[in-house]
Amino acid sequence: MTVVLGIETSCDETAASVVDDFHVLSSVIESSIDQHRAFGGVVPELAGRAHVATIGPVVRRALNDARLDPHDPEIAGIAVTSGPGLIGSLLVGLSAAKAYALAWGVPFVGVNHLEGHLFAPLLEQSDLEWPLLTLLVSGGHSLIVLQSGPGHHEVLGETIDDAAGEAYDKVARWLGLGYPGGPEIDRLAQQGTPGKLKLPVSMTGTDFDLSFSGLKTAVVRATQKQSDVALADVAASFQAAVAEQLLRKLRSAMEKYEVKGVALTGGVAANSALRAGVTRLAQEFGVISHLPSMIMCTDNAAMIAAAGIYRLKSDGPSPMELSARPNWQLEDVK
Amino acid sequence: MTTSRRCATDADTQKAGASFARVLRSGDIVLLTGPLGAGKTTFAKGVAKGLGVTERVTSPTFTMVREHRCDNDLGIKTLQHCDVYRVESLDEVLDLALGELVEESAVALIEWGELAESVFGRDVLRVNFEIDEEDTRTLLVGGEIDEARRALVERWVDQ
Repeated sequence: MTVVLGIETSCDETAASVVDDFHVLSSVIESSIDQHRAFGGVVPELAGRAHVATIGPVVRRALNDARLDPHDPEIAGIAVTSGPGLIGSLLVGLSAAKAYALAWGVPFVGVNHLEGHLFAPLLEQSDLEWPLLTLLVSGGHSLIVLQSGPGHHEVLGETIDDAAGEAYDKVARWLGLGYPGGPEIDRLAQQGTPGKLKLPVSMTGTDFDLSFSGLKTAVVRATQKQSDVALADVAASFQAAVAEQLLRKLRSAMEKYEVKGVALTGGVAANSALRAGVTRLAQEFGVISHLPSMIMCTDNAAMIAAAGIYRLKSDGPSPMELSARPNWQLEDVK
Repeated sequence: MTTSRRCATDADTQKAGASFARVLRSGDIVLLTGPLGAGKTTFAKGVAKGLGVTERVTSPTFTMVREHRCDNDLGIKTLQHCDVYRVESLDEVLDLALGELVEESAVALIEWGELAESVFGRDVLRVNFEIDEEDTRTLLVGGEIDEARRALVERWVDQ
């Protein structure tokens, strides 16, 4: 039995969770998204300040919910996101984790946020079979990752410009829709017809890299030229183009690598077109699809705790001097 | 003096960025301004290439600042690739302290720089991106251009 407290503050969410091996005892997520909505995006200092105000209560609630003594919980360690993310936000979580570690006399370990996302499916399905192909898509990241086991991963491809979620947010702002852009475009897309707005097919090469900047620009240009296309049709056309590229790349990865399962994670995993597409792909290839619940796909601390349990065992605790790494790549996690 | 250059394709924009590296000196702050999809990140990729950055350069919108090591004969060791798209007030820009990023042999490119313009005053370079009907981009260099730099910008325009 390894009980670990996870802390996540890399972007919008202040989150804390207690995980016992791969069993979630508690998970608390406090979002500052309402503050950001007014601004059409994450405002770094707002996020940083919000984390400072909420981190203490969020950790206390996670410990209480797990029936642990918030003053001296009996835990094996603390796992905290130390990158990638907004530097000011990361530092709040990291400083808190160090302070708790010192106060309670337990080890702490810095966890890569993206590796955390890779552990999310394990928390809902502990009988995962490897190798596993994961499509990780969020506001800041878009990657296709091959995992041969927990903690063993190879990045097959990633975005060469914008993240998928970033393209969603920027297109949504361009169209005058709200933030975050994903859910709003997804909702509108249900009422529209894909293909009404002519958009190019991007990234036709044989590698697994992704690109959404050209698509974003194409939406801007096409809506200027075809101003008569209904908003719902614009949304449907854009959504179809994003899903087409992601699923085409995922399909070629599945053709190349023999895997037992395919997983979808990250905030954009909420997208209905992607969920349906990944399910279809899994059926076609006769493998298991892992679509974790939305609460596990979006930023949360349970996935950080899960990755931390693995890292504490394999690499041991981090030193107190550990600093935040805003641009920490998944490839550099060994 | 003409300080603008036309780019018909993404490749042209990237090439314009690569040769713009020769216009830069340590300590420069360059504001990249213009609408969504105008080519700011593409240009920044080119500048990075021109400065000898080997790692992949992607949009810095999410983390606001990406730092890249450079290898060139210009004395520029670090490229700070910044993006203030998500910043909505000047206080937020001040909090980011972008000016401090360029001490010690570094240059900074700031996407959506118009949002940060008043924080930096006149002491910056500016590259404004415009798109016309044919999708051709016009890159206009402005800002603080002294005599030595003027010659470099003219050479860049003619390349």
